[in-house]
Amino acid sequence: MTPNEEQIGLLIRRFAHKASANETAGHLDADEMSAFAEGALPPAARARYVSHLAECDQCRRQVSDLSLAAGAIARTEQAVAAAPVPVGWWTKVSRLFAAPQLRYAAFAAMVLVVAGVTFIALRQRSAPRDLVATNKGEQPQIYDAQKSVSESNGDLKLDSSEARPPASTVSPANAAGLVEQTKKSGETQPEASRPADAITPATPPMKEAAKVEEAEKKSAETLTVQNKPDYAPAPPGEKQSVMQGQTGGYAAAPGGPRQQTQQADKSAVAVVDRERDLAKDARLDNAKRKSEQPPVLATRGVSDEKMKGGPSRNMDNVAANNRNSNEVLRTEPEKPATGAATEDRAETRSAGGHKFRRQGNSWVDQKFKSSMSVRTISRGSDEFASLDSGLRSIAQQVSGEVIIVWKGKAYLIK
Amino acid sequence: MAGARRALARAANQRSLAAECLTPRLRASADKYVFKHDPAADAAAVESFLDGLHADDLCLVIACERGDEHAWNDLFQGYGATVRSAARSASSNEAMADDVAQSIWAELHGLKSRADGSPGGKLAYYSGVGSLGGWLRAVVGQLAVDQHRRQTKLVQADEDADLDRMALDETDGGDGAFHSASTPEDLLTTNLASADVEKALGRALEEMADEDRLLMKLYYFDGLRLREAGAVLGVHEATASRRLTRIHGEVREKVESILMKEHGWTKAEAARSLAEVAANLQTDVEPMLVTSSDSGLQSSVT
Repeated sequence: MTPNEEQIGLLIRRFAHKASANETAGHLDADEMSAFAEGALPPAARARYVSHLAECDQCRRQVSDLSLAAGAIARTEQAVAAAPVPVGWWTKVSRLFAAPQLRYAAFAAMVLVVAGVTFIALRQRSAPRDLVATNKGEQPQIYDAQKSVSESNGDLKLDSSEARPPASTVSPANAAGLVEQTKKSGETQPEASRPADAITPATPPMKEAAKVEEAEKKSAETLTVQNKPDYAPAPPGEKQSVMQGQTGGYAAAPGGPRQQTQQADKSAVAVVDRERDLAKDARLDNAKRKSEQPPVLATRGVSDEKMKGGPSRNMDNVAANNRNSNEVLRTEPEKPATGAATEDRAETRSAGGHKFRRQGNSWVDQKFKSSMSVRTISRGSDEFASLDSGLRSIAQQVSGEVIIVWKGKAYLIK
Repeated sequence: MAGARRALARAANQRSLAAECLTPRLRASADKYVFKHDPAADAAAVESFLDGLHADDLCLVIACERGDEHAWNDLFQGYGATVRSAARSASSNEAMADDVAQSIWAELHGLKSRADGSPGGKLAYYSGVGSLGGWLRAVVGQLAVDQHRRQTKLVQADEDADLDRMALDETDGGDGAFHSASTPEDLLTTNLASADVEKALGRALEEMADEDRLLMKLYYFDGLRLREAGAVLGVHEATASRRLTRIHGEVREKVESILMKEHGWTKAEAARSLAEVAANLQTDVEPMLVTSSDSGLQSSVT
């Protein structure tokens, strides 16, 4: 019983004790009392007598005595026991969650939860596989396209620095063509994922020129770093990779793979010409040194001359203008070396992020190992055409026989 | 009416009573318990009522009224023990119980005849709605109460004379103990925080439904236990408990409402006053109330 109920109970009890006995005019007769006590009255008559009993203390006491004597308590308890208990929907629902049922339901729920979690976990694990399985035919192409773009970006980087055409050659028409090619390549590449530098060709020629200047500055900075007494200069590929890393791995791609291929062809020709000129210069210089100066001084003079006149001569040479600044960086420290070193300078080169060394008439990727199986492919063949664009790009940059290590496999391109 | 036909058939078979003897009693019973309270009662209600009659008991009583010796023997043998038991329960002592038990048969038979020649005994008031045994207990109880009243009046007259004498001594300047000794009711009155609460409580009880008010009076006024109060109303103890809980809430709301509307109290003031009054009652008067209610119950039985 709550405190409020206790308070009211006490007050009513007190009121009952103070209240005077109600004496009504008419009382119930014995027949009515016994009928009420036995619960045998019709509803209307019973209601009337209840009203009287609530007021008449005398009748009420007699009726209550009669009721108790007539076994009203036992009768009501039997009636309650015999009466069907009305079961509401809420009771039915609550019975479902009673403890006896819950012991089974809880176990079943636990099994369901475990099964569900397992199913979801397995599904999540198998989802990528399914994706790979469904995209198996398409994924390599996309991957190749992206790869080629990324790798050709490196090539283009190389083009812009090493085999960079003169500023005058970058005409609006060329830029427009590059834009078109970029658009074409953009069809296979999402707009959002396209590298920021891929839009570079769309910029006006003045911006292109500014970029060239910036690249030259960078190369000059790298030159100062390289001018430190380092007798084992870093291979050009690493510098290139550094440059690529600076551009976030996705260096500028002025156009799609097709344009890159064209540019790579041009740059390859330019490199070959430049190297031929350099070899000639070296031979002439060696002859001059041998004839005019002592070896040490001659070497120093040559180096001085190289430092002074070399670049200017190279500037005159269109092919030399296409040289990568990395190439310059790589080759400049080697100038003080002997004629053998000069020969050695021509024995290495880089293309598409790969370093190559000359072995006889062929160029061999420095990543190449003798344990690798070599796949021989002729240029211009269908098999060559089916190669990755990046691999083809490298092959086209390096003329002659070249062994390229591409994705862990060695290709001999003839 | 199937119930009436069945009663008539029993009367003919067991007591050799004609339909004319029984029909007026059946009609009188229906008038008293059906049509008096529901004049528009339909045939189904009347048939249900007649079906519930104790036809055998009614035939026995009618046969007794008509002077059937076999019927009287049956009545005496069948209900003699019930009468004695009822007399003992209703009487305060064995002598009074024997007196009541002896006089009941004379009351039933009737020493005088009515104007129409029929015996003027109490058997004429049996309607057959309740059982004959229950009716006999009720008659015995009323008889015992009447005898108790007669004896109490004699005693009370002596007590009143004593009280008057004591009051007279008081007015004469004597140091009587009448005013110095406070009764429990006086203590209760003086301890009551506010008469407004009492008035509001009385009104709240008056405005309750009859069924609820009867339960309240059986429980609080007559001192019955909840089980007994529920049995009088024909409901189980659990039902009575639920009703009582609901009644508590309704009475409290009603009292607070009256105090707020008619006396301008705030709800907090009303609640605080109720709590204070109840606390005073609980600490000071409750033990006294318990003994008082017990004595009240005993007096009601006697």
